[in-house]
Amino acid sequence: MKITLTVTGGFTGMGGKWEIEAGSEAAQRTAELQSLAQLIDQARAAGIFGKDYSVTEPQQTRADEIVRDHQMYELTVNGERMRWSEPAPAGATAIPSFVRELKQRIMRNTPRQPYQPL
Amino acid sequence: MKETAQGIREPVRRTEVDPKCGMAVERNPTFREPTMKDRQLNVTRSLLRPARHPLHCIVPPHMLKEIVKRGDAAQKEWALETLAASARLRGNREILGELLGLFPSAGDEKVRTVYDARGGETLPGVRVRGEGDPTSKDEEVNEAYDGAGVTYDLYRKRFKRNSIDDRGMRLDSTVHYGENFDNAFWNGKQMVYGDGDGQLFNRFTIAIDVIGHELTHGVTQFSSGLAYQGQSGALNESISDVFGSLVKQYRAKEPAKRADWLIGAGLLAKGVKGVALRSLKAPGSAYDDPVLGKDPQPAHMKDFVKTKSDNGGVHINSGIPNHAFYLLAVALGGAAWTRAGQIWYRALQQFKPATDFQSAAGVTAETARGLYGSKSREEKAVIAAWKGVGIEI
Repeated sequence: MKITLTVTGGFTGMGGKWEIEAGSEAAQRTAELQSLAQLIDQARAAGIFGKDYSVTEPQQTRADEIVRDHQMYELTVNGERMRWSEPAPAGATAIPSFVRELKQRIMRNTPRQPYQPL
Repeated sequence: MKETAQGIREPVRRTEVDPKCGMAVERNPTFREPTMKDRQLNVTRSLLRPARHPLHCIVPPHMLKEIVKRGDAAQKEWALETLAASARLRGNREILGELLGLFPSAGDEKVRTVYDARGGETLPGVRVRGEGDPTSKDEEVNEAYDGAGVTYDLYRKRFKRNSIDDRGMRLDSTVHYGENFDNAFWNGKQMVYGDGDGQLFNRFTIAIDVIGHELTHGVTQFSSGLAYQGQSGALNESISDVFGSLVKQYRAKEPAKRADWLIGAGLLAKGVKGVALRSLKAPGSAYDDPVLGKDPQPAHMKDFVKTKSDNGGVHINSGIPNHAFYLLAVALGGAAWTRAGQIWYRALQQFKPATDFQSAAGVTAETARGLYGSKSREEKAVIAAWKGVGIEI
């Protein structure tokens, strides 16, 4: 199971990418990565893939609720994707807490790589 | 006396149901003058005064907020009174908090407040330093406070702008947001700074131009409202970089030719191969690191980056107008916040949400002509600066 996390935007404007093959030898080295598969199963069961949590209705967003320099995250598992924004825009559905947990574990335990998609 | 969520001490009020509209209204509330603490919290007489206007029952809150934004002084005061009274009666602290942001500060004074999110993501967090309070033991708190102050001073003294909204808006900042958070942002109401992860990025308050950048997003929001997508988004980002750099130069009292024109110098952690996040002088040269990659900013339209990510490359193509401003400031000489800054600031007031690079170039040339005369050195320098990045006026 190939897991890819990317970030773009933010004040730095620097993209980043983290990749891990769940079940691989590297993934078995730390307890945090060993349990990734469980979190992914939880994510699938919650039906988060295919969703974009960064989307809001523009007409419902007031000027003083518009975030500048927000970061966009994308999580891909075997080709299934989900997106969210940090901070979340006003009126957007909050991401489930286990997505945040997934993100933290991936970022803590896998090396960051440059990422600048065109 | 009771204390509100915002820490305002106010008298307990009696409420009754008004037979005319069936809503609760105040009867014989005690009036008091605002204290120094109230002034620091932006509480004016309007919040402390009993509301008696008969239209309280009729005008809906969204219309009242519009009147606050667009009405004359008397209308604004009435609308604020009404909203404040309504919020108090309903016990709606959220609305009361929102109202505080609508109030101008007392006179022309800057009113800075720094909050601490303590590693969480709830805004604004715990209030840790207000205007005039002694220096904190926390470096980030002081950097956010001081940086907001210098930014306010530049806008006030050099551009005659009364804070972010030109109506004395409070300058609220939150530090220690999130866990190892590698970002700073403007959320429409306040600045927010992360601590950085310590491996790639240091704390985001370390560079004053970061603070000037975020605050300027507020200025743009209240000026032209440049849309945050594509070229207008890149222009939005560029305006923040330009004025962020001007804040740094203004604090250092340095002329354009002596400035480093870097954004985020000191932000990259030790060991990262780079000097900053962006360079207005030489876009694309700020960093080249095995982990972070290479600075992708173009300096010329021929290298314009077409991308869907980052809202259409708003942090990438901002290099083009950034460099145009640098060329102008250096050509005119002296302090960049004088003539070059004046042209850019006044042009910003003319921009529309969809203004693109070509339109912006035209507006800046028109602005230079209006300020310094037709065929003036300044107008010619603006035209030459845009030509230098591949945009003919």
